[in-house]
Parts: sequence; C-alpha cells; structure tokens
Amino acid sequence: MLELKDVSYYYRSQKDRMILDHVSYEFKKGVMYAVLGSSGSGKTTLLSLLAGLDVPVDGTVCAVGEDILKKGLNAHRRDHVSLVFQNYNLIDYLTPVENVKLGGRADAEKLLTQMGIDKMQRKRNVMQLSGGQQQRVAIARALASKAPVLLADEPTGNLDEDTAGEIISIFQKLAHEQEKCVIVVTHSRELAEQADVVLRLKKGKIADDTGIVEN
Amino acid sequence: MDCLSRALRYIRRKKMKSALLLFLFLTINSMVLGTLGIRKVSLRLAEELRKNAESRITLESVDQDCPFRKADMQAIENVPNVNWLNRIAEIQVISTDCIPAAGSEDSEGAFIVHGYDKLENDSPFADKVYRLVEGNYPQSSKEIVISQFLAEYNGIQTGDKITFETVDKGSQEAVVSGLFLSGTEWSQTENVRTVNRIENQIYGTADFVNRLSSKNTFTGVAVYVKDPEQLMDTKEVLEKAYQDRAVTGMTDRNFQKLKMMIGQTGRITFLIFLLTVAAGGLITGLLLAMWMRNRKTEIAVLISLGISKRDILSQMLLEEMIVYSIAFIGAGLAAEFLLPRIINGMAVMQGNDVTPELSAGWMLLVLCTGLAFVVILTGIAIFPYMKKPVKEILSEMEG
Repeated sequence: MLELKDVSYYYRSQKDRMILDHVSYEFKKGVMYAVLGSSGSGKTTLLSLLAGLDVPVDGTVCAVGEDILKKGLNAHRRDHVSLVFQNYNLIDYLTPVENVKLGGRADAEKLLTQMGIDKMQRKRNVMQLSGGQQQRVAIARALASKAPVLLADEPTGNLDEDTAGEIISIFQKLAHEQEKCVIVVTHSRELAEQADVVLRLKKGKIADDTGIVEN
Repeated sequence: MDCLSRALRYIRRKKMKSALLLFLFLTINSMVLGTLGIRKVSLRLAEELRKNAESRITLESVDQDCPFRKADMQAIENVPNVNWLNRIAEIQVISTDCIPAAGSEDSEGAFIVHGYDKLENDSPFADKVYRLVEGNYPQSSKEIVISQFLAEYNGIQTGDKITFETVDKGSQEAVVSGLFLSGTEWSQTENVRTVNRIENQIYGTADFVNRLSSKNTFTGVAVYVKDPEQLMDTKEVLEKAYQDRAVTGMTDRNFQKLKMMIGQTGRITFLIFLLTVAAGGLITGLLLAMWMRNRKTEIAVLISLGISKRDILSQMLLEEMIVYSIAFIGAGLAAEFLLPRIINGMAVMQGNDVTPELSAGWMLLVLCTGLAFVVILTGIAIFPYMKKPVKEILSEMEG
C-alpha cells in the first residue's frame, strides 16, 4: 500500500544527524499501525514523508508501487493519503459539513453522522464544537477523500480519556472494517496497545516491529 | 469546494476582517478618486483659464500724426500667439442735434467719441468706471452708448438717433443702444472743459469712429493672446516692431493669480493622492501580512488535503479582490455624489461652471491599478507561507 524504500532524511543544517537512516518498511491495508518514539526521534518526519509533505534526502516513498514524486505530491496527498492532526486543524470559517467537503466529494452529511455529529452540530461553527467533536469532524474530513491510507499525528493528544478511547475505536474500525491502512504517530501507550503493529523509531531506524497482532 | 466558494465564505464569515478591509479600501479609493477628480478639474480649469485668460498687450500710439493703420493691424494679427485685436480709436466731433452738457467753456457742441471693437473689454466699462444702466453695448458700427445725463439733458431715449458731423463735412447717424453712468459726474468741478466732461463722452465702435474721421486709423490696440504663458515673447516681438511708434503695456494679473491658485490646488491634491496611495498601501500591506501569518496553518492544512498552492493563492487573491471591487463601487458612488460638493466648496473654483467627472476610462484605470496593487500586496504577504515547507508549519503548529 505505502512503502518506504531505503529512505534517509536529515536537515541540511545538521547533516551529521540522521533523522531517518536508510529505513525500509511496507505499510499494508487493513492494519492499524502505531509509531512510537521519543521527542525528536523522527515520528513527524516519517509521517510527513508518507504524506508527501516533505521528500526524503535518499530513497523513495512509494504508493501502490509507484514513486510518489513521479505521480506528484499534490496527487499523492489528494488520492492516497489523508491526515488527522493533534490540533484538529479545521478551517474556522467553514461549517463541519464544509470542512468535510474540503476533503473530497464523499457525502459529508453521511460521514458526519457516522462520526456521531448530529444535525445541529453540523450547522455550527467548528470552533464552537468540543475537542472530541472537532477531532471527529477532522476524521470525517480525512475519510471524505476515500484515500486508502489514514495518517494521524497524535490524534488523541488533546482529548480526555473517554473521548480518546472513542477515537481509537474509530481508527480500529476504519482499519478492520473499511480496509484502511491507519498509521498513527503517538506517545500514548494506550493507543499503541490498541494498534495491530507498533513501530518504534530510535536513532533514525525503525527499531522494533512487533508484527501483526491477532485480535 | 472551489477557491471562489471558499473565498466568499471567508468574506461572509470573517465579518470583522472583511469590514475593516472594506472600510480601508473604501477610504483609499474615495480619496484616490476624489483627489484624481479634483486634479482633473484643476487641470481642465487651468486649460480653460489659459484659453479665456484675456491676457493682453496694449499698444498706444505716441504720435497723433502717426497712428496705427489698417496694415499695422493686419501685421499685428499675423504675429504668432495673437488671438484677436480690440482696436481703439477716438475723435472729437460735433453733433447737429445734441447739445453737450455745459462745462468751463463753450466748445461748440463738441463730443469725444471713443471707439472700441469690443467696448466691454478695454474701455472704462471693463474697469467698471462706467456702467451701463439701460440698453446694451453697441452691437454694430451704427450704435453708440451715451451718458444718462446727456440723454436726459437732450430728451434722448435708447433707440433714438443722433447725427454727427464728419471731418469731411458729411454726416453720420448713430442709434443710441444704451445709457451709462459713472457715479462721479457730480464730483466734476466747473473747471473741467465741456468736451472732457463725463457726460460728453460717447462710446461706439472703432469702425464708427473711422466713419466719422473718414480714415482707417487707430490710437491704440489691445492685442489678446492665445497662450498667456507666451505673453512675454509676444510682447517682445511687438515692442521690437513698434518701439518708435507706441508705448506697450501688459495685462496678465488675473491669469497669474488664478494660475498660482489652481497650480497650488493641483499640487496639494497630488500630494494627498501620493500620501493616500503610500499610506493605504502600507496599511493594507501590514494588515494582510498580519492576517496571512494567522492563516499559515490554514494554508498548510489545505496543502495537506491535496489542494494546490495555485488554488490557495487564487482563493486569497479573490478574497481581497472581491472586497476591493465592492469598496471601489462604493467609492465610485461617493465620488460621484460628494465630489461635486467638495469642488463647488473650493473658493478657487467658484464662479466657474465646472462639473467634476471621472470618465469610465479613468475609473477603469484606478480599478485595474488598485487590483494590481492588491494582487501584489497579497502575493507578498502570502509568499513566505507558500514557500515554507508544509511540514515545518505543521510541526510549529503541533508544537
């Protein structure tokens, strides 16, 4: 589905410090991945490379067997991946429905209903929704693109325990029922425990792959 | 959702920002259109003033035996920059049916007839020394204006005829077309000669005087110029040509005074225009830069959703251009209705029939220039965030 082939990354100002050092890994559909690692370990960099928001210094990122650079980063972002952020990043002058429509042409109302956003909430300004509701809208927006890969950066970081649990449950359903490839970058052990595969980033390498966990 | 839909939603829902920007653009456009309108009017006034300034050079014959002749008039008319001539002639004549008001001595019924091609321009009537109290100025060489006292003294009314004896002992009739008063008649002492008394001054055309004298001669001429800016050059040419025969004078005060005032108005409005554009550009630029900084997350998110940078840039440009266009229409209406009042309130332009108007071409030019400015300022404001890697913006945002 999404593959890192011998990917290396470092900041041009710090060439001696490799953020990612010849990393190769293939992400498969229908699996929920959790990427763990300490601050500065390269989690967000990995996510950015997978999302086509940045390009590796060496190696290639492939989506459905094709180098994303060849297809074009815009097209990759539009067709292959969708993103969910810790801070939700909803567009504040658009309603929840309009935010979802930004993601793609899917039925926004239906997606929001699936995410538990009722009719009244859909018409309100997104900034008037609670954190959990905003994250649901953000997930609905990510799903609107019908991209096979969902990338999430600390999606439960700003949420309380119960709401975080609900969001994790949504991710699991997306992976297992809708055959999405869900990659979550997190510090949360609770979230990692719910993932099918836990990846640990350490010194620019994917240090630990626990393999697919049978639920 | 296309860029236009997003732009319209942004304008509608970010009310405060849109209102502030609208007000700013409205103010800038109103001032720009206003100052341009005033400047245009002042330029037009200057042009009209140039045409109608009535700046002139006067030539007065110094030798009665050597007056100006018809050939001199033709030669003067052919001098560059000469617009038209007001020929001046004078003769002392006797009337056979009109008795002069008595003075210090008996002058056998003599009057002085003054002739001007255009009486109201260079005679005492031009300086309001005399004023017409009844009738009109002479319209033809068979009409004259006389003193109201003389008319009363002889029982003459406007429309009556007076007969004069010509130099060659013939006679010429003239119709009284108007009566005048000076207001200083009573202050004349008994010592004033009869022929010199105000009551015994008769005004007609230069041609009428020539008919009385049976000659084509003139005591002076007022040379009106086309371009008052070149008055000195024309004066030099005439001085050179008639230095032995005439005394030259120049009348240009009104033009210089008005020119200075109109020039000052033009300079002030141009300065206001420059300041408005500079201050408006600076304030708009700073506001846009500040707002775009707050929108960098939005830009990064839109990019992460696969929306192209060109589409995002188009949205931002459309937002500003729509607000600018609305403000421009408002400013155009304000200029249309308020500008005439402002201009009519300007003392320098009072008395002139000026209708300030900004042509469609000017309006279009201001609109296009303004839109170009908006595009440039928005482009400058958004450029750093378009150039910055999305990953960095998102990293900053996510802490």
